[in-house]
Amino acid sequence: MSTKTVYNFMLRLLTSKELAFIFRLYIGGLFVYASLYKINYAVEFAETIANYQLVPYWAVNFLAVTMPWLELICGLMLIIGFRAKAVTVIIGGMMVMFTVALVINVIQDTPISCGCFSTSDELIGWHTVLRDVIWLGMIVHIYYFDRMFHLENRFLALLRRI
Amino acid sequence: MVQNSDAERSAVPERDKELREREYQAYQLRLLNEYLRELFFLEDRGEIAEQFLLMCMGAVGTDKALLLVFDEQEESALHYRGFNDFRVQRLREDAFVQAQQHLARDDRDNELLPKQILVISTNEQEAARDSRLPWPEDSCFIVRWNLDSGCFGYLVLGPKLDGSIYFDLDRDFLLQLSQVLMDSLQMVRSREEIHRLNADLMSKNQELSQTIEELQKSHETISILQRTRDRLHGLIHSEAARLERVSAWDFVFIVAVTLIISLLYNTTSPGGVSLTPATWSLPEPEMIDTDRAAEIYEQDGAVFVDARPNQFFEQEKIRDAVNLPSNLFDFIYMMHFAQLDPEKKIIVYGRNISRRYDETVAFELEERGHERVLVMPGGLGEWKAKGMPVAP
Repeated sequence: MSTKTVYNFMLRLLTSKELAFIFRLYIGGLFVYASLYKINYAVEFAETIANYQLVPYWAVNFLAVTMPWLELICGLMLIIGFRAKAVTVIIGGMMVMFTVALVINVIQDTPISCGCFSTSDELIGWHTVLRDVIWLGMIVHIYYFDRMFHLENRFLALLRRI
Repeated sequence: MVQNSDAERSAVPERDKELREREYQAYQLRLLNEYLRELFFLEDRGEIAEQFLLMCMGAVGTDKALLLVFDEQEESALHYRGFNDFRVQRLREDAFVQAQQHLARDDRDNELLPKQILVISTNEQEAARDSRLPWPEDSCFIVRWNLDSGCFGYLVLGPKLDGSIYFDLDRDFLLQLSQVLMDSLQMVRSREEIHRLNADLMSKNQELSQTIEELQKSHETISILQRTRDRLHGLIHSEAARLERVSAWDFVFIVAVTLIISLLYNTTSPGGVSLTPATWSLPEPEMIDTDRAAEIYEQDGAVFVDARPNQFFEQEKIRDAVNLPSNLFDFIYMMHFAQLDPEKKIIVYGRNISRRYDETVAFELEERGHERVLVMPGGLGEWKAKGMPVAP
């Protein structure tokens, strides 16, 4: 097997829609899972947001109430494939936001836990940043290569046949 | 000599007779010529027949004439002059019935050839003997003409007015006239055929132009339908393409749904939180600036309380400050503040962009009866900037 063949195989694998579908389910599930705890413990989540010291004090509670729901709704829509592209953009936006917040706090050496899934997470550090960057990469992959098993594809395919 | 003069004498009436015959012939030819010229302009069968009768009467000099015309394409016709009406009516009935039978008969025996003319009688005796049809009285000269199997007829003439018999000349001339009659009838037939064909052609043309018009309309309809289809097609496809793209409405929709559900859930859930910061509902605490606090600190005149969560306190704090985070307030208060003199000055610090821990804790302390609680909004940052002592 020549290097070129291996390269082509890897390229096909990495740009495959099947991989994007797997990523889509994973990221969607991740967001749904992350949202469930936060929805039920809004007070704790508000503390987590406050710990990052980036959101003005008058917006903390509002964000603590709405953001978990945004995660849940986007996660579900991503899994079923309804307006997946827009949802991917929103999820990507949130992930960028989280990553930036993490980076700032890691640089400032703030002694807080991530709070990503629950309040008792491990402390933030460069490994949490790396984890977020990997997830962000998956989201970018979904944006460009995902087109399998979308709920709205049935409808769109029907339209295209007319 | 005598013989010669006899011969000459007998030759004179011969020449006279010949001369008269020539004149008669010339007269008849003039008539024929005239007749032909008139016929040229006639298109109606009736007029042709009338003209023919007059010509025959004029040519031989008789006041009785009759013409029967049978035609399978036209109604049979009878034209007559001078004959007794009653006898003619009988003739008409018999003749028409016979003609109908004749025309209907498939096998036509004794048929004359096309354009053939048969002389039936040239005098009254012969006419009376003939039993073909009940010829009217005074019938003298009878001819049957035959244009073709579909058109034939009879010409009947009465006695000549001058009482003379029908000469061969008369006979020949009448036959010629009959020939001309047949030609004219044929011409009329041809003209009628042409008219009919023309009319046919016209109606066909009309039908054709109507068809073309309809075709054109259909074509227009089709092109309109086609354009509509193309437009619909384009619209659907552009709509499908639009649906695949990310639209601002997607974000509006998702954000709206999120806001509605989350706010509804927060109001109904027992774990819901107030959307406004808790400190907004507290009374305004008494403030102290960092310079004044530093003076008090150096005189050891106050207890310094760090209101931040414990991990921040552990990281860095004002030296000798006591950590009293609001989430552990009761517990720590019991441990460190229960025995504190309520008159003792307490300076609370610790806030960041997201939280005003100092105000919350100051309020809690005032609630417990401490009268001299002050908030230092400058916090650890200003404290350090002034070079005041901190502890790790």
